[in-house]
Amino acid sequence: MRWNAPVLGALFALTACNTSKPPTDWSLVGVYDASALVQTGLVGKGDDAGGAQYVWVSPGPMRKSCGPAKSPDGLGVFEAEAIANRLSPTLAIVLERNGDGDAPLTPDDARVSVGMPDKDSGAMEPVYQLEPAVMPRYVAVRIDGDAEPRYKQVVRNQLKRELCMEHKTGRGWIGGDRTQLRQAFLLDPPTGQSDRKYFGGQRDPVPALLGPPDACFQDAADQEDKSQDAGRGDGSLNLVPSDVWGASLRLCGPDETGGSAFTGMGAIPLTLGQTRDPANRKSKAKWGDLIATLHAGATDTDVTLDLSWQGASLLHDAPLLNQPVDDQGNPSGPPGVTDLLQRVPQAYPLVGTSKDRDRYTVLLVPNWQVVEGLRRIDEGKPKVARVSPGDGTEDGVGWLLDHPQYLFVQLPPRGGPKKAASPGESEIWLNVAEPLAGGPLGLMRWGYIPGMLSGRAPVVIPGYTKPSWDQEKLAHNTDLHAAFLGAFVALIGLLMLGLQRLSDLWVNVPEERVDFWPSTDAKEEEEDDGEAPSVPEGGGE
Amino acid sequence: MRFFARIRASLARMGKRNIDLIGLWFALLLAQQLVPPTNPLARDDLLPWLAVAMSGVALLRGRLLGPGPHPMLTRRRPEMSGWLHRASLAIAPWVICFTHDYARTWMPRDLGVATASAIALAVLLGLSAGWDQTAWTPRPGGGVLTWIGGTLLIGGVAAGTGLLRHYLGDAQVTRAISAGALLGIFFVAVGWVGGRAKNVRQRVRAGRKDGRRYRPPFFPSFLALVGPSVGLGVLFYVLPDLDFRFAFAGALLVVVWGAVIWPQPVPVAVACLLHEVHPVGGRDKVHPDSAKPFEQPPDGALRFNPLRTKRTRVMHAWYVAVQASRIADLDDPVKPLWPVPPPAVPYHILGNATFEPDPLTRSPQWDVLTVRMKSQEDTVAVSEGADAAMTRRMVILRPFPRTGIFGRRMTRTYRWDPRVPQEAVQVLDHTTESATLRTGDVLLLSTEGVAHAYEVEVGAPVYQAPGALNARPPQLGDYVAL
Repeated sequence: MRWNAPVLGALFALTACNTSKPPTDWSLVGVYDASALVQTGLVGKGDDAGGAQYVWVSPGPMRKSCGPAKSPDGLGVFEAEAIANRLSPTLAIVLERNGDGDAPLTPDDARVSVGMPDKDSGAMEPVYQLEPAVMPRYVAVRIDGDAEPRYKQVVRNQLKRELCMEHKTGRGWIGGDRTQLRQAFLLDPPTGQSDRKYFGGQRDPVPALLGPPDACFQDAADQEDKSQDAGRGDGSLNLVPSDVWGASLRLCGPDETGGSAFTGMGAIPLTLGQTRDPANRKSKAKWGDLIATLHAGATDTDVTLDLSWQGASLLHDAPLLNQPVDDQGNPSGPPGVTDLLQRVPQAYPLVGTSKDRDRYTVLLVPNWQVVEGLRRIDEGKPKVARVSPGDGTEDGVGWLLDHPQYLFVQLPPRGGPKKAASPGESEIWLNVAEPLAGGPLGLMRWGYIPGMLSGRAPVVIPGYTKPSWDQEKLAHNTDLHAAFLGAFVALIGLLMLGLQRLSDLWVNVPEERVDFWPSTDAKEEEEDDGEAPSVPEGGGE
Repeated sequence: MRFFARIRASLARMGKRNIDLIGLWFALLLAQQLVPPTNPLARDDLLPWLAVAMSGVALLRGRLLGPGPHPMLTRRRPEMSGWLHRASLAIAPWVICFTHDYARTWMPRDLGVATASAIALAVLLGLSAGWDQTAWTPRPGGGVLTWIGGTLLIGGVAAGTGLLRHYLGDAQVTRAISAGALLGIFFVAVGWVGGRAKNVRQRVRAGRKDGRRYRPPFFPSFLALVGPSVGLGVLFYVLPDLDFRFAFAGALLVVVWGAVIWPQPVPVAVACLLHEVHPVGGRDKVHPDSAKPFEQPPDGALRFNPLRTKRTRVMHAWYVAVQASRIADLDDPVKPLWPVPPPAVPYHILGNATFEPDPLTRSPQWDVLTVRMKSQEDTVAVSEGADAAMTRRMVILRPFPRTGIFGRRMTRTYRWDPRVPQEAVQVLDHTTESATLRTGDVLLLSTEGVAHAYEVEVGAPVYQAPGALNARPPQLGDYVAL
């Protein structure tokens, strides 16, 4: 009974460490290359195994109103197809919800970045933000208010162009500064000689949509449905001005209102790994009401608006037109319309079981974003878009998994981001990917990627096939972890034994001297050697 | 410093005594990583994994929670029965687990599994019936009532906890109660399943040494039932979201309580051997025609290196008692069935030889044999008579003493010898009060310049051998032909 006290103490200490409340609302439970993981499951299954898991089919009404979906310039396929069909490496980051709730994780709640060492301190700092793929939105727009119709038309034009851009490129609209927006709307040519055209001219990472979006106008009472007459941009594979400026949206059908189920082509299938409860395969895709209520004002800049999305208020009494100002506060250029769609939150996909449908979320980052970031970091200019793809790392996801200290997955601590200690610093977010780096000297970079307790969490892969346990073990480095534990135990045992006997390596062995050794062997040795020891008279020593 | 030395010694002893359970826990820790979440062993209520750990503990340590047959009766120990007995101990937790599952789910399939496991247990118990069988049956008749009572208790707890979860659901409280109760029952079942009513009857019929009526001990079963249950309850309290991720903690709990309830038994004696050895090599060259300086070894001497020896076929065996801080009457107060002669005094030719308790921890040990010199006349003596003078020298050479690297005191035999740790050489002279022997030590007896050497080997411990200590102790004549 007496000796087990330290063992129980260690047990309680261990458990006490694990029972402390998680510092963030989500915990990192897996980081891996989703495409490679799916591919490993197809090894030995023949050439026809796997196949295409997903084909992007945009809703027919959107094709009619906005024109054909074209995919991002320079890629040739929609990124959702690239992710689902293993056309390029895909960085998958699985987060598990701490506690209850069903709210999805949004880009405002998480930052995924690639870091580089700070020149002064040498500490790794996030410098290049990645944009994981988000779920498509199904937007039913309604424009209300007592403002003059021309203001409503401004809002209407803005929304239909931006929503059509999402449809055509398969990417989520995240807004941008004046230059980026003018390039996105094809008003200005992209800077530099060669255009990467991530978003029709925008060159920084943009979140891919995991399925085709859909949108329509609800308020057609004072408007004629001109969607059939809209420009299509049919004549080009790439975005052309008619794609942008000829866009229009149809009128919503009777079952296309907020809260009603979306019946079109959904997002790419995401399959949860091995869990005791059956995985949830029911889609939660629903239409959402985007309501812009414009309030009349004496002048253009006095017109205000309220904006709500799925019942939640996004803007209240905000000016419709914003006057840009320069550094001295003087007006610079014509007023611009407040970007409304930018404020509609995107959401990362939720995956779960039948008992807990929203337990996990997965952040999928296509390879090109990582490659772009790594090449920028190689050049030492992480904020500056490169003119040409150039040479360098091609499997950015694999490189990042091999060098996890460069990966940042930042979440706000519970209760919101911590305020900075000094004015110059930004607010403090917690990097939940820090355990991947392995701590000092990378000593802990073994086995389970995010930690032992999280290592049994299921992985999420694109496609309809449930990942096997072998795939899960591969994603979590389970075999390596078990081997490490075994080797660690053996090493500790050998070390303990070795240290105990270390002095034996140089200790002198005691010897004793005697004069005569009576044995039969001695006689034999006498005969063999021919030189027997003499027995001195009197004996003794 | 002594406090830390005691801690270190305690930890080392704990690790050494429980190396089997430590190995089991690490094996479970490694295996846990490789169990798929959909595997039945990976249930979040941890019951199957606790049963796995319990089976491992039962295989390694499982034995009766009671005292067993009367100690003076010879037990049958057929090897095959022993293996089957071990298997029955290992399967007992599974019968409970499956019974619990059936009561929880009311699924016919679970009923089949529970029934099959119970049949398997019954078959194993029947096949291993010869294990620990003794000849004396004080009151004929099977222990049917005992079996019925034990089955009702264990089965009742298993079924009751299952029904609790069936009707109240899998809330954390019900999971904690059922898992805690079942873990305690696991231990009790392993400790009871090999028992016999006949054993108790033997002891009751014999009575106690003090004349009072013998009563079966209650505390071991109480500890086995309550201790693990409370431990697991605490674990559920500390870890509200306890699931299979924490299976290593549950396994650790089982292993720790296994070590507490079934500690490694302390042997009553240890078989020791003295191998007669001869030197191999190391003989000095003889140069009778030239004088050598005093700082050089003398010519004609044989240097005996304890690492360069060759065993002969001659060996001397004897049993050395293990001293423990216990009182035999309290250990097993049952009255002997017939008069037993007192054991021979377990003295070595050099004195009383015993495995004394560790001076730091005061716990029994059987690594270092201590010889308390009965007198000094046998160590160094010079007999001056008319015929001759006789000189004896006794030295214990220890090649690798177990002392630390730093702060060890050094000594040497002769000034030309290299310095060696003081513990490496024990010269037994008339001032010596005690000597210690370990495996590998060489006892060198030199009489009139003629030497004999004996290598010590501490052999297998003897746990139940009443006659072991009656063995003849080695005499001086066993060592040296006088």
